[in-house]
Amino acid sequence: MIKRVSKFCKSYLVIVCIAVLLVFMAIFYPSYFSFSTFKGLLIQISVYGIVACAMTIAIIGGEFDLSVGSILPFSTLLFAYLMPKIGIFPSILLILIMGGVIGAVNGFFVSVLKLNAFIVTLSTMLAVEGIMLTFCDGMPIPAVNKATRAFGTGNIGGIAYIAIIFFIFVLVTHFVLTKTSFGRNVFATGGNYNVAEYAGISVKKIKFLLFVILGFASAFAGILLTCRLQAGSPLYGSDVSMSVVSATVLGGTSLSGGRGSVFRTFLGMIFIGMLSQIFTHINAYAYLQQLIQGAVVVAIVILDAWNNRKREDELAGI
Amino acid sequence: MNRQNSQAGGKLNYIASKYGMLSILVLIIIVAGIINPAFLTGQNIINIFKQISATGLLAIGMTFVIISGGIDLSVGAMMSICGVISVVLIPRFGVPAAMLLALLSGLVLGIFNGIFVSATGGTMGSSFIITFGMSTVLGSAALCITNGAIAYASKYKSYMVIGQGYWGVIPITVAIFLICIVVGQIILGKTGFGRLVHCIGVNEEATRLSGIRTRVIRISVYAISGLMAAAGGICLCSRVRSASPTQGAGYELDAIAVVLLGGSRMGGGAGSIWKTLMGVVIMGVLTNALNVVGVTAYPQKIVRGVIILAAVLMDLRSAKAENEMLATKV
Repeated sequence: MIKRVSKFCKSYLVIVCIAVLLVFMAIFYPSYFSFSTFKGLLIQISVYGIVACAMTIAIIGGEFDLSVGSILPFSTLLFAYLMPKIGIFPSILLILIMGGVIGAVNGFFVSVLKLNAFIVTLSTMLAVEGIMLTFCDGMPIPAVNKATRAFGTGNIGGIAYIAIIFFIFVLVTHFVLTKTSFGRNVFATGGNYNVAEYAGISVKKIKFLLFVILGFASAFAGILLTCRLQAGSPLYGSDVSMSVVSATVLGGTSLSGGRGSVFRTFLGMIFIGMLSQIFTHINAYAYLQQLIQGAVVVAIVILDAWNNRKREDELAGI
Repeated sequence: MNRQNSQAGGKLNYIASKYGMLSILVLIIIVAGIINPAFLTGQNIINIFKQISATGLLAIGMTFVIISGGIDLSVGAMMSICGVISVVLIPRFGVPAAMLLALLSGLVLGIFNGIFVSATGGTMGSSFIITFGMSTVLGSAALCITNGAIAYASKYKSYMVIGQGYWGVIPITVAIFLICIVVGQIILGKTGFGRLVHCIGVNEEATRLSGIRTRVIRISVYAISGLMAAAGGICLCSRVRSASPTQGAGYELDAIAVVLLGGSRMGGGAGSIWKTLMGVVIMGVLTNALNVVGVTAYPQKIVRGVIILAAVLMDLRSAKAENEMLATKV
């Protein structure tokens, strides 16, 4: 029994971390436990969470993307700019196409030309950032609109619409990853590219699609963020790429690909969201908060690697 | 006949790609010189070198890390915190000791980076996430030290010698950068340590199995990167007469970009400090040329992104050409 518990704890390190945080808060700050903090947590993680779902698919497929950090703010700006001119739904359509096109550019360079994803998405990030800043001249654009406001701040029984969309994204991603042939192919491609190719999987198409999905998801997340904040700004969500990569890795999805699940990423997002919420709740010094968050990421990654190595040793021992 | 033809073609391709970077550089210089003759004055050329020396110092350390098969995203934050340390310690220890302590903290923090990275397996992915986490830690530590404010150094005349003084016509920062380039090239190209850095970049497991302490090599690579970041931080602070806790943000991407632009390969094994020098000069000349020609900061980012992508594409072609050369030789 103890052995099983410890095995569970090792493979779901992030649950243990969340439990530790909860116990700490229950002892020292019982006022933390209320429905409104729970609602706040969900709202806080939802927008980035949507990008995190797509990033999980990409990381399982052995790739990753920095350019989401400029697609997301670009999409908030475009939505704020286009909405009064051509209406809500046409602008949503255009922005999704924009995200998909940038994703396709990334995908083309990575899958067809076999360039390193880090450097490709770094260049597209810079280029899109440049286009975005030239477009808005570094200034935010207001996007006040009754309909989007009602959507962005509304809720059903206390759960925000945006959070519900996030849940739907998580479930759909889980379905795609576990129940469809595309999902199995993503796991195979990330696990061993050459073997997957020899097995007849069109690995290039898979890699290409990973980036297109990421482009769509981050453009969509930008639209939701604009609805919630009623403005577009070049600064909104510029830290999204690092934030979602950390959440994915904290959840236990391996950066080397081929292993992971979207529920793990969901837990990772909850942990990161809780951490920053708790720091705000106990009024910690803002810079210290960032410091501890960074340290926690480093610590968990090291612990996780240590666990994995022990597991591999055990497997080798058998 | 056919084979000879393809050999000649391969050779041509090889030469074109080998000197491709140089021709791009010459092209940029000619175009910028025609549009604005002020670009070609001696003063402007010295300015270019002054502007690139901080990024260049970072890029030297980054070359070691990238050749060893890793990446160091923490150098920007490392630069901030070491710059801040070198300024806030002056009242207590005096200028030379404060600078030494800043260099020492860069070295020690770099060693920590190395220990953490090798504890997580030393792969590309782990070095990415670990050094990213460290960059958050170090960046916010710098903010904690100064309480978010900028530490001014204009009171300390001797501190500003490095950033603003000259040896003859050469600014001291530029001299430091060039000395580090030469020393770095000697270490990387002529010593056993340098060869081992290449080895762990190609195949760490094989290197370890042949009896080499790969962990020590990996840790020292990150230590070098930390040290160079500290040096870059001090040069920058001394040039701008103050230490901002966020001054280094974004420098890490520039450093990676120039290393790859020079032609060292992501994933390890191939590269040299000369190549990095080439990358640094191209980036410096390009930025300066865009300024001189009158392109504003925002569109410059677009150009930069496109240039990096183009450089990596050329690198791909040169790798192919090299392989073809080898194949035809056999």
